[in-house]
Amino acid sequence: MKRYLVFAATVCFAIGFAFPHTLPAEDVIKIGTIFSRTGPLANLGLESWRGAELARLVQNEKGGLLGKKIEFVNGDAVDPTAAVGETERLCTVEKVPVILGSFASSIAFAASAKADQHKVVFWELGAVGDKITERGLKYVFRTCPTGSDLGREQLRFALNGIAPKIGKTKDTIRIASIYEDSAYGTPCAQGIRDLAKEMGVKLVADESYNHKTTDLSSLVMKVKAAAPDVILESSYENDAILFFRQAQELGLDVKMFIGSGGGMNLPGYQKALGNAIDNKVCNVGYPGYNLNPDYAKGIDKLAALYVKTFQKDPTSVFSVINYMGTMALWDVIERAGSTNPDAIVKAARETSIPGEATLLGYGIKFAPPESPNMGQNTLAHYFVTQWQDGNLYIVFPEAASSKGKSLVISK
Amino acid sequence: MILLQIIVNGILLGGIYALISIGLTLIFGVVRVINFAHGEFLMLSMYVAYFSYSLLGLNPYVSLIINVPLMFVLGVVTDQIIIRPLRNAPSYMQIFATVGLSIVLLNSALFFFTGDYQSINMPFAKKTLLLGGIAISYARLVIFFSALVVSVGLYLFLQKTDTGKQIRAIAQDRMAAQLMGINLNRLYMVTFGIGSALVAIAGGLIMPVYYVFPSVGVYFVLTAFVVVVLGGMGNMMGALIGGILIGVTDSLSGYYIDPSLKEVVYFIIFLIVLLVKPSGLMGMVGAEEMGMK
Repeated sequence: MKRYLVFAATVCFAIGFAFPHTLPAEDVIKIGTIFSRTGPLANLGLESWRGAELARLVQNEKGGLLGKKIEFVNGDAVDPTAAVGETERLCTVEKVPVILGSFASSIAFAASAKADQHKVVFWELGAVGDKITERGLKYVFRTCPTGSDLGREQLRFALNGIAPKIGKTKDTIRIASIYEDSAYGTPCAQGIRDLAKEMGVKLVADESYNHKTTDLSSLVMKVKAAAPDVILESSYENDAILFFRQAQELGLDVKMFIGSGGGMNLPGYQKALGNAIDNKVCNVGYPGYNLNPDYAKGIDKLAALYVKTFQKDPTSVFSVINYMGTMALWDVIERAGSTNPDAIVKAARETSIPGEATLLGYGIKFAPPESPNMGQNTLAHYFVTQWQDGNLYIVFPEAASSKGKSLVISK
Repeated sequence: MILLQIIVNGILLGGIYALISIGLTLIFGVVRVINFAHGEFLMLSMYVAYFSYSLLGLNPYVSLIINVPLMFVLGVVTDQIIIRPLRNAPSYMQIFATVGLSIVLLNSALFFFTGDYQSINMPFAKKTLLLGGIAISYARLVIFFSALVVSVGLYLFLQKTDTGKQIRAIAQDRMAAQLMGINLNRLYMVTFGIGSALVAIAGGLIMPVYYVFPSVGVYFVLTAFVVVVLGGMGNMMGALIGGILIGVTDSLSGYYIDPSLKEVVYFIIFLIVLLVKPSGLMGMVGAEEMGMK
């Protein structure tokens, strides 16, 4: 009897394996993420990821996507090589339909090409390198503005924000452009040059330099000889500090230095130069949580959610832009009605989200396939901050300005 | 007037390059070691000046009383632990060793001090002397005169003191010097120490006008090598003249040609000088064999 029982149990066990299990219906949507979570870029990489994570939490609170909860599968991209490996894993092993990323242009550049090969959507939230969307990759979309947009916004701010306040016009204001000559400064300067040509604005100086230099006195002298009212500057932290210090030493004074969100908006820049930069240095870049809540509806709630979720204050401005871009992805997936990458691409191309429907007040509309920067959000733009009393406050556009703050021009 | 201002800027910049290069040329000329960690020694001395200011409230000029002995000890330790075992090894072994040391120091600094830029916000550093329309930064003037004093002081030390004469002797012919009873190992150790102490003077004095981060030495050391070779290896006055020449070239080419091409210009001058006079501007033919001036 005992022998029969053992035989019956074995048969049942074998039958159990012979027939496929009836799996429970997938109740989650898996989305991949590629950010630097360790290594030298981890500080801002993780801060960027936190923005996407907040968007995931907010959406799950609303019931998720297509009736399912969203789950992140996080890849760690220390550098471009690791980014390719992690993207490969997310595409082939985890089989995610979409990858979010990535903060750093070099990482985005490598990871997005790999995702595109696997026909997986790469949704870029924060890397600005122009070439990311200039390669004609069908599955690559970017919600943030580009590097050359930085330069254009610098010039626009000089013309629209500064010129009227110092009694100058587009034709009389004297604008100098200086930039470090690597992959960051060069596209910014090109953006300035292109828009200046388009608008008929003459730059009184347009000079590049190596950011590893130990002396910028000749550049300061050259710019001083051009007698500008405003200097548009694209610098990393060390060269930004050096230029300002040597400008002080050699008596180069202008109404405003306008940076492009490089080293000039970092705490080390303020620490090195102290109150000398107050009301003197503006920055074009991403906005933080000090946006005016009347303009960025819900920014105060998002700031509170950040603190509650991560048990600390935000360490940079990066999470806000990543949050907004991820929320736009949820909208696209809902409209696609599926997580099939081709359906997502189709829905993304049909996207037309008005400015007032987004946290940052600019809409989402991607450049079409026939455009040279296919997949780039054509409505994205930057905000302008100014150092005042040792802090960076948003001052432009005026509607978005930090509460009680506005642009200050020193006499 | 602009030309004059540019030349003044160049001379002051040359003072910085010279001050950084003097210690390097001493080690080059006597110990015959190409110290690739010289830039990291500069970085460490800048951190010493920064921490003396931020933790102890010491003016970076005053902090030299801590900085100089500390860097002297670091030089001695480096010589004894890293260079001494390789004293008779082929020169490329010493190069590998000092390159290794520079990587260790740079990455240790990254680990302990992080990659953030640290600087001293001293009101004095922003003050300028106006001489007939020419702006001269007081802090840079201090560096320039210090470079002069250090060069002359070191020259006199090598010419007039017993230790200086012994150092010159081993630079000229280490075997003969040893036969005359000179303690080779002790003198190499002292020379490495003095060379490192001199970079502490540079680090302390440039801190009010620059800022420190782990790879700051890399930015300066390439120019320092150019200055040393251009001026003539082991020649103190050569380091001063080489520094000023590079400083003025840097300044003039940055203004009249292109700021992003100034390194190209002084490297071309460097190559031309070496082709015409391989021993450097102040060096004698075969100076690398003959030693200190």
